[in-house]
Amino acid sequence: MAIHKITTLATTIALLAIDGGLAQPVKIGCLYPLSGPAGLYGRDSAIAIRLAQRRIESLRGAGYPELEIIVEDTRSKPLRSLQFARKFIDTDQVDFLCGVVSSGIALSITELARQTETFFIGTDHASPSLVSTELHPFYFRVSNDIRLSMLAGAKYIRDQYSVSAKPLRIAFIGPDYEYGYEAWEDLRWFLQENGVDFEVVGEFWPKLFETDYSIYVEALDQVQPDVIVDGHWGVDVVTLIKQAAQHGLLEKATFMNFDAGGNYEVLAQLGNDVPLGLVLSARHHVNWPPTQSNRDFVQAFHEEAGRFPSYAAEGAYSGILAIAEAVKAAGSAGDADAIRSALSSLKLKLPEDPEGFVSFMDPLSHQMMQAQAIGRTVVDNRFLPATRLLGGWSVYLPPRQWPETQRN
Amino acid sequence: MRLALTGLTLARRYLWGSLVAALIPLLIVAFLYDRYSVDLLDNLVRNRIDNQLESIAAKSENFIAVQTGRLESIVDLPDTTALFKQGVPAQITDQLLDLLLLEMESGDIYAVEFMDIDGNVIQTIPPTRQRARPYDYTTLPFVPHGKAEIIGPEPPRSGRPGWFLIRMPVILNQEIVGFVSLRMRLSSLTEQVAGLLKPDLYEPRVVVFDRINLTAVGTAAEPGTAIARSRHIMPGWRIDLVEDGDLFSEPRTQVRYQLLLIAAISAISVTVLFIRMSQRVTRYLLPLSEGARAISNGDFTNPVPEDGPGEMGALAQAFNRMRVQLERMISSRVDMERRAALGNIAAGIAHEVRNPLTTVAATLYGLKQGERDSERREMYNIVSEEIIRVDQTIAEFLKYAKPNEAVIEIVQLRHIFKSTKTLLSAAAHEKGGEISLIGDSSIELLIDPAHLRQILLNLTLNAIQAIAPSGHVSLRAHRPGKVVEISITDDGSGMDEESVGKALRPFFTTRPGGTGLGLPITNQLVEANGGTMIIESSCGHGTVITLRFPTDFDRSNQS
Repeated sequence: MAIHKITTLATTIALLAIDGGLAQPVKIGCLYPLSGPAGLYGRDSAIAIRLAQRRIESLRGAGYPELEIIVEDTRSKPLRSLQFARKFIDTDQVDFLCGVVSSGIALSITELARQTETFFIGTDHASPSLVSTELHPFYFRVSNDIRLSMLAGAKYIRDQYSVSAKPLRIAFIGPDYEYGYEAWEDLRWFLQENGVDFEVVGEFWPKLFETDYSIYVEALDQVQPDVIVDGHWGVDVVTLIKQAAQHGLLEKATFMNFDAGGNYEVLAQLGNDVPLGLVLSARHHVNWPPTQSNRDFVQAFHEEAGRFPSYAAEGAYSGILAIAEAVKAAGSAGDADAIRSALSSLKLKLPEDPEGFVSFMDPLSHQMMQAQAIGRTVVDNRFLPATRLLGGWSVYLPPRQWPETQRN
Repeated sequence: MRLALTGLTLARRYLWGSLVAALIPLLIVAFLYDRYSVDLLDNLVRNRIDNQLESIAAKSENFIAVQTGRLESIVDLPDTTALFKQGVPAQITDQLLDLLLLEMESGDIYAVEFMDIDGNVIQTIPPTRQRARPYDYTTLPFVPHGKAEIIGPEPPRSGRPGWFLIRMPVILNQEIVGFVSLRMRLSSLTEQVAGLLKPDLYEPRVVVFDRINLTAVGTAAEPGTAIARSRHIMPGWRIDLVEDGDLFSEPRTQVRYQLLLIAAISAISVTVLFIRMSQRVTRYLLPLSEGARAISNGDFTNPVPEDGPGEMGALAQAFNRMRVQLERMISSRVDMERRAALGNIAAGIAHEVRNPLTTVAATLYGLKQGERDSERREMYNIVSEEIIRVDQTIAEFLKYAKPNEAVIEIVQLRHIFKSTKTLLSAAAHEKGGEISLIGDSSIELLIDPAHLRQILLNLTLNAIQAIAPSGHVSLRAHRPGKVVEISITDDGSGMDEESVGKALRPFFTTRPGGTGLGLPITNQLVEANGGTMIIESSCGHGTVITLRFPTDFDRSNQS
């Protein structure tokens, strides 16, 4: 039912766009899971796309293009995603691919984008490979990647544990795919870069969308870490936190998740089960930054959806705005070099930008550089059904360039 | 002492015998139960573990079989074979790519690799360019498994998870032209054994060729002490259960030790209880033993304590009663024998002395009647008086040897008191003293009145003889409870302690001319009427003789 509604929604968006009257609307094919374990990310993204499209339409007089956006439900399946991407390119003849939650799927899509020379605007997946080893001229990412999250995380650990006499015992647990590996690799690199005295006591790789973490929780308990860094996202974080809390593990070690653990969706699903004092972050927060722009975005989303947005919404919103800005700057979607040039020098004021900061594209890596705010879980009932949100923020602005590591 | 020891040893012997009889079955039952529960526990645990191990081994085998089946499907595709045709650039078709992506969606397969005959990787799906190729497979364990070969495992390293390969040759025209391998997620295999995990007791390990130990989460582990092993799930691969923590903390084992502890506590408690009982019985038996020894030595004066519990107290009371009865019986027996002897003597005296004396007296009386000479008459009179005195002494002696039986009737004590005073007042006046009567005038007694009269005469006369001029003798009667108490008090010369002790012996006297039979006869009469007589005296202060008679005197009590 939900899928049907979303598909109808997508079609409506497309029709509205066509009805706009421009001769050559910009066609965007978006790949999101609208159902399955990561379905909420896609549904939130689709709503945010609608908000973004309305905003662009309201700016049509200022030279912004007409947008025709198609959203397809990938269900987080690699083959299904690839087939929809092929359809977008071959049948729909889209100007831009956008979306993709999973880095594993994004790697397949970016390869297709490279082969077919179609622009792919990443809005959610966060693997650094896509902007380094797998980078090609047609790929740009507008959401924070895990490298920037881990850089902020390493600095946070440095700031919190700089006075510790003994090496910090760190255990890592992350999903068993590229996203997880790179998160852990980058964190270790940045910890060393920042002079943190640490010792790796365990590395654990449960399968993506695992439902039973009991043996991993037991294994984490056995290695007696001071800090558990979690690299999961979405429902995996919810399940892991629940099972770890039940086991008593979260009372023995500080739980940290710098990229996706502080997502509103996670906190909403856990409700009162969120232990206080977890160190979490996400690519967007409903209660940070306290800017008018963010409040407006969150409010508009709530009015549209009847719920508050997960970070995926803001990523998708950013992706559509980025495409519109690039096409506007390039004059049309047909000139690939102009589009690339426009995207490479893109500066975009987004809801997640704190006061005085504007997200900017790193021209070398094609990665949008954004601020990262890390907080601890506190009681906050302003955004129900989540009763615990993040507070006590530590804010880390990005470096001028996307950071290279030893790996690449 | 030997008697005491023998008695105590017997009590102890019984107690220790009972203790052994109680403990041996307890220990045997505890031992047998423990062996039974240990065996049962072992069997249960062993069976459970064996069943679980077998089930997990089958599950793991099945996992490998499913993957091998997938690989075989890929290898058998014409699109796959086409990749290895010589002279044609290796190009994966979209159909094959889609199929491979579909096969990998489970997450158990990291990648599908296509290798040439020399092991060089031609293609990897999903296509990634970042990994260094090729891996050095020569250092990894390598085992054939059906049509496939298992290479690895490579445990987690450098921030990457562990993996192993399932490789299968691609055959074209009956010739191996290359290989297709599945790069498998190692944890997907090790997670199969997670069901065996029992935190703090034992944990499962996937062991490869005895040198690679993997935990359920796929991480490398130190070798541990295996408590159970599965069969091989692939050549060289098996599942071990290794100890993790203290097996003795296992709840069922704890129950077993609790039972053993309870048995031990019971044994100790029973032993302590028996020792305490033994000591207690000994404590109560020892005085009995010593009392018996004293009686055997003729000492009837020491009673044993009667504060023992239950039968012990009753035994001590019975012992004391026996002691008193025995003393009385022996004393009575001696008395009877003495009286029998005296009776014989008295009969002899009566026959041999009194009869001739009667003849002498009659003859003397005849001589006196015919005698004119006053001097001789006086001599006859003296001889006659001496004969009377000898006769009276013999009469007293006969009375003592053969007392009259008491003939009981109700007697008004005041009458006896008055007649006694009347009879003896003259004697008292003669001595310069006086007699007074004090007490309850309504007292009645069940007693032989002749005996009572005799008793009071004897005692009062003794008292009068003891007092000095202007001395005083009092007869006092009162009734404290169920006895009538009569006391004869004088303020005369009194007796020393030794004399008091001997006063009741026949022929003991401190008075010149006394027979020494007055008090013994009096005492006899008192006892014949169920009474007792107590003499209290001190030199220079006088004497008190107290008589007690029961008011409900029953003749049957005399014996």
